[in-house]
Amino acid sequence: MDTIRLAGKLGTFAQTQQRGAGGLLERAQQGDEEAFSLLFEQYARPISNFIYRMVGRGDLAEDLAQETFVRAYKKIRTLRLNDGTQLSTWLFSIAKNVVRESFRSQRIDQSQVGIDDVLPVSIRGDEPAPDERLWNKELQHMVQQGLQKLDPDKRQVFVLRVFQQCSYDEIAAITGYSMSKLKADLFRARTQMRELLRPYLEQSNEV
Amino acid sequence: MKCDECMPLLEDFLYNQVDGAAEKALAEHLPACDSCAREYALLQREQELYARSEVEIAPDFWSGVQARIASENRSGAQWFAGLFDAFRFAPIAGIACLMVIVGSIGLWRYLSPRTDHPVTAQVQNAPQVGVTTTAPEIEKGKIDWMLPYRPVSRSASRVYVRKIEKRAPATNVVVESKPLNNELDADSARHLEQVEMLLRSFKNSRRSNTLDLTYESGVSKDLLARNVLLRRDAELAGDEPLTRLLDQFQPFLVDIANLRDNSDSKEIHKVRERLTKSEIIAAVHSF
Repeated sequence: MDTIRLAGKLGTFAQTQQRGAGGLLERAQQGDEEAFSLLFEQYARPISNFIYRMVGRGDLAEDLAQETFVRAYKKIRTLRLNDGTQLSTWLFSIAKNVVRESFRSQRIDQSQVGIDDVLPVSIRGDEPAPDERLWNKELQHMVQQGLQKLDPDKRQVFVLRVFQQCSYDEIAAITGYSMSKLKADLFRARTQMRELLRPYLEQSNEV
Repeated sequence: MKCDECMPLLEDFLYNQVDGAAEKALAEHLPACDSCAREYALLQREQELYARSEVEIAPDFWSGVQARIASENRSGAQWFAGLFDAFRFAPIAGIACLMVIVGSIGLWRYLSPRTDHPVTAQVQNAPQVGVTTTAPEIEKGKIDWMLPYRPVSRSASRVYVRKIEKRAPATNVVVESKPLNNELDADSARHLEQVEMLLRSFKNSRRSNTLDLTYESGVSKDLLARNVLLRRDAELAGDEPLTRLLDQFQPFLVDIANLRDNSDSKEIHKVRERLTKSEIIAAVHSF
């Protein structure tokens, strides 16, 4: 069945990214800037995505993502990955802190997301038709609006789980939430987002 | 596998986060169960919607990060450079610090009420033996001992020194003051003077059957309170002669303070007699 075969295609972000990161990490910790830039290439997209989904503004997301990597660069020498902690978890933790500080300092009005604020997106696969492109943009805007309506805790859990496909353990390590809290938050967030995207889900079902 | 076991695992199954045995059980259960399959299909469609688009990283993103790292490194390096620049001025700063410390110590010693500097005083005409002060505003003979006690700040530079002056036959003789080992501070010196004046005044008062001693009694009460405090201070400071002297004052001050208005002449006479016998006035005078 299609549905079952599709399951095998997905995998955790950490699982895929962690491969080969160990050697790079050691080199980066010894001050090898090239190794750090390679690590950066691996993690720039997921970290930027996470931040963008959290703040909902393209310019700010780029700024905060840069801040995240600058902090990572400064702290990477002292990083000790113990107890199975992964590099991705560490980076997402930094990104989470950067976003939280940004919320505090800038008092972002999280319910306001303009359509022009959406970051440039690349559509997977072939270049879509104009009407599909428009539909995608509208969908993107709806998703982003829905995310901004979630409270930051739920949004954080939802983004890490759905967009970054982090495991529950990883999310707990990044956010510091208990397993029961993050599962409850995820359930509520998913229900809220499902309600918002119902027309698009039905449409995609018809397609 | 039952549906209530399957449902919580659907998400993990979607993200390929299920163990081997559970994965196999799910793979067998889903095609056989419509409700679980529907839920799984819904999750898949949602995931496809969320995954349709991905944020594009700006081409200059990495260069932006590099620029910020370089900027941070520069500012760090500048801080270190500034630190090393500062070392060039270290000798000057050291000398300045030393001067400030020496100055502070000197000032502290200067302002300290206890000093070891010898004091000389020019005595006009007949030299006196007794307690004198170098404070210009409290010259002997001009002290209004009847005034209530006014504390003198310990930080003041005025210093009261116990002095024994040599008897000099001629006038205009510079008498060498001989500072004793234990100096008398301003409070004690003033107190001794006031007590001496009170006792002397009481002893020499006009002999009559009754005497209005209201004023003396009040002053004696004040002096008594002060005497207690000074005695304690002297004892703590280890000044035995002063402690003994203040000890001797106490009963007389108590007696005078307790004399009622228009007291009987017998009571007054008794106190006077004891005062004369004890020679306390002479003792304080020669202290």
